[in-house]
Amino acid sequence: MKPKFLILFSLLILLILNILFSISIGPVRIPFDSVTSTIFYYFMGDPYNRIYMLIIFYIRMPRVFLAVLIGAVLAISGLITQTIFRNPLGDPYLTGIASGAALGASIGFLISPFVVEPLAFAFAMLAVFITFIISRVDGEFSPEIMILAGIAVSFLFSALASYLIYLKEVNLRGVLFWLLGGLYGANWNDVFYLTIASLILFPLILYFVPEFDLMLMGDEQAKSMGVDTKRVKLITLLSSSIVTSFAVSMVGIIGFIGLVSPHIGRKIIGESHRFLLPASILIGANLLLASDTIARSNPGGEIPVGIITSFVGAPLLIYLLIRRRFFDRGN
Amino acid sequence: MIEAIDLSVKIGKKQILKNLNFVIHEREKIAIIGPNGAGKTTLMRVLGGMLPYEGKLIINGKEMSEYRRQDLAKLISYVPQIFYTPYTFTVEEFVKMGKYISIRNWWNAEGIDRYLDEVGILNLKARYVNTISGGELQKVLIARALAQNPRIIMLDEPTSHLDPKAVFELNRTIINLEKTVISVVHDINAAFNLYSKIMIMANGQLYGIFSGKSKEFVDAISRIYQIEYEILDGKFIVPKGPYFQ
Amino acid sequence: MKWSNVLAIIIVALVFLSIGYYAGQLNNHTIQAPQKIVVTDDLGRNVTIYLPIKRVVSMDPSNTQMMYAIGAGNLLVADTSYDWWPAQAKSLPKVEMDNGTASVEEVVSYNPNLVLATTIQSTQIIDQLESLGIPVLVLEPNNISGIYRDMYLLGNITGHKTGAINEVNYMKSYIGNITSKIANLPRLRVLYMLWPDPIYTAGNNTFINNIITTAGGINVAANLTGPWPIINNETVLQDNPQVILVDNDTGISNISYFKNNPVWENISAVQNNRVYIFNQTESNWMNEPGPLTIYAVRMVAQFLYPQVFNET
Repeated sequence: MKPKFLILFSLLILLILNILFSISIGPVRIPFDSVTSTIFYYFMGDPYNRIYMLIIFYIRMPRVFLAVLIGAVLAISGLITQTIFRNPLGDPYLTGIASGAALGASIGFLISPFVVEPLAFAFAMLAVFITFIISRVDGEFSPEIMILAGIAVSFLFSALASYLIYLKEVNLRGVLFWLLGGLYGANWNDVFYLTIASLILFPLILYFVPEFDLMLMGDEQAKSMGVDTKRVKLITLLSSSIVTSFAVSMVGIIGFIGLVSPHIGRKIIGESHRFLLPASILIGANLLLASDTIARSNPGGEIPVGIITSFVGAPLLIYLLIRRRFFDRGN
Repeated sequence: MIEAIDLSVKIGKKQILKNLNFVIHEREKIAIIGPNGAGKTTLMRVLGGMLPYEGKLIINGKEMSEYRRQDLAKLISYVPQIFYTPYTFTVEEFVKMGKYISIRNWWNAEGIDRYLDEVGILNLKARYVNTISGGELQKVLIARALAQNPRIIMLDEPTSHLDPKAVFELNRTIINLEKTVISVVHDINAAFNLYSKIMIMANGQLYGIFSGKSKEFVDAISRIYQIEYEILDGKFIVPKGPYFQ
Repeated sequence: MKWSNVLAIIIVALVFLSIGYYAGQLNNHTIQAPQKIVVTDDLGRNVTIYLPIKRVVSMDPSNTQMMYAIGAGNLLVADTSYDWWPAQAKSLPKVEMDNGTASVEEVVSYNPNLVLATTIQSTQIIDQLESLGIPVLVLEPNNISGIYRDMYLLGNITGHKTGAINEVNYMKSYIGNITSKIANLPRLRVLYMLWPDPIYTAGNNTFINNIITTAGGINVAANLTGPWPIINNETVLQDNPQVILVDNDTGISNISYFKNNPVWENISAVQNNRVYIFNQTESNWMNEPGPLTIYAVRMVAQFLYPQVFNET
């Protein structure tokens, strides 16, 4: 096996072990043999510990799989953004998704808790579309303008959200808890829908693996080599924005995974997207799963997972900054 | 064959190129020369299909704007002026990218050694592109353009910032390519000696097209730059009179 | 000059500026006044108060309620738009609140010689008011005896000592009446739900924990750290609360929220329909430490032991 395939294979094994480990630990201590026996008896139809079964199948498993999926979504979106914008600081929220979702959630809490998620999704997409429309130059997205447009749209939507909260019309408590982000209420429904969304949208992104390496060279070179840059940007940015908005509407804003995972990936497997893309996905899934397991296993009550990802992500990023000056990119 | 008829380019409201008319034939070696801001790079970009334009620009009998990106890439390859790239691709991978239009999964492409050989960098094959020198990188970019197998190769000041040895080697490589070559050149001696035709640009217009090694070219250059040039030994263009007053 | 030198000068200048700034702030605190006493508030701050107290601004409903309960309500010159009890409190002039924080200008415009506040007010506002010579008492008891202490304190400084003693005695007997009824009954495990997703609850050192405990319950979140911890749903499943108390702010309107959930439906409280969703007034009782806390205790005790209280 080639070394790069070996790395990917190791990351996959690591993810599987991570999943098994995460299912067997949590605030309620269930011995590992009880975990396996509960799962075994459950499928065999033999009598099992009902509380253990509920904890394993209805609380931990959906949460573990949701963490894996969301980690993967954030990592793939982060990588796409970094590649298309040729900006090492690209993260999935660059196009205004976070602020859009926050505004949508605020409006949602104004109406009813049940419309929070759909509105967060809708407004995240609205922010993305506004950013896209602003950044069109000669019918094509300009990365430079898109970064600035994303910042402008983010500020606008944040201001609107803050204004709603300021007006006290919004259930302040709800918005604040929502903004902190977390996978608390994970259920099989979430896992199911996010899986479907990923199954539809990931292939649209993965299809463009041959183009991504060429896109790294810059728009003009990519075009000169025959890449339809307009199409690549539109389809991949749109796909990643949709799936990210969907993920954000479920669990709020979780930072650093999308930014850090591709950087770790580059470090261990290099620049070629045919390896980097799957590696980033696996790293993102591993990172968020590990962070969430720490967050929920804290004996003194749960910690918002964003705090853990920042604690893990920020030092990693600093380490990478010191090890490799990746800011001198470009010509 | 490239044929431009009243070719104009506007960026925003600013007219960058005004009514250019020229014909470039197969296998010609064209140098584009002119003062800064004359529109050389814009002309290169429009010929590379990167910019919208007015007038006609006909490539092999078909209007430029009607080409699909993939089809255009089979005809024209643009070699940018890059002397450093941070990416950790090997020279081999980098050159294979040129195969993208024929093999979408370009990393499976075979037989790129001949392109490396053609520009004399076969020994660099396994090196990483972020570890080679600027001159070597220019050659890698040319090899990548060759792998694309276009009819026309365009180069943007390929030899500036390089040391004399690298300049010599690169020029030799360029001139021996069995392609149409369109190259932005600042070195009037290189233009004079190496290229079959020289297009002089000034203020967004085509000042004229001249044959290489012609007295007319030297006269035109003298007028454009407002320096009296003369030909020495039939090879060198030098300013008249001493440098020190 | 080198850039590093310029930078160093700027930094040194900033350091001196900030020292001057904070030193000035310290000075502002030592304004002299003729008749004064020093009292300790619920944050452990020593607050210098000028007597007699004539004009009081209350920045929290719980403080307003304590003032009225001890008979000192006539000293209030302004309260907040959140005030709802007693009826007179609603007609007082209002200090407008932005996100729970009052504007200093507005508070000052009522010319108070005492301001009552809770920790909802930012420390900047408290500092600003004190620098203007207006003492601020932070009254935020985290248990029922803390309410008694604060009422005595208010009684002492406002001259309504007797009113405070009477009110405290009334509360004590009211609560004693409840606790004596349930003294020999088995204690029940209770989950208090401030917010459903994530499940925010009340930790050990909170006022709500004290109400639950007094009313005969065992707070399942008592072992978590922090006043408002997040409780994991698998912990809830393991603790299996027999009663769930749901705050009005959650937006949960009926028990079907729990019934249709594969995890919640397995919990004793849900299976036995012992989920109590507070209305707005009941939520206020639970969240505003003061004279109305006795109703919160009665309400929770009633939820826990309906068999004892339905007879009356």
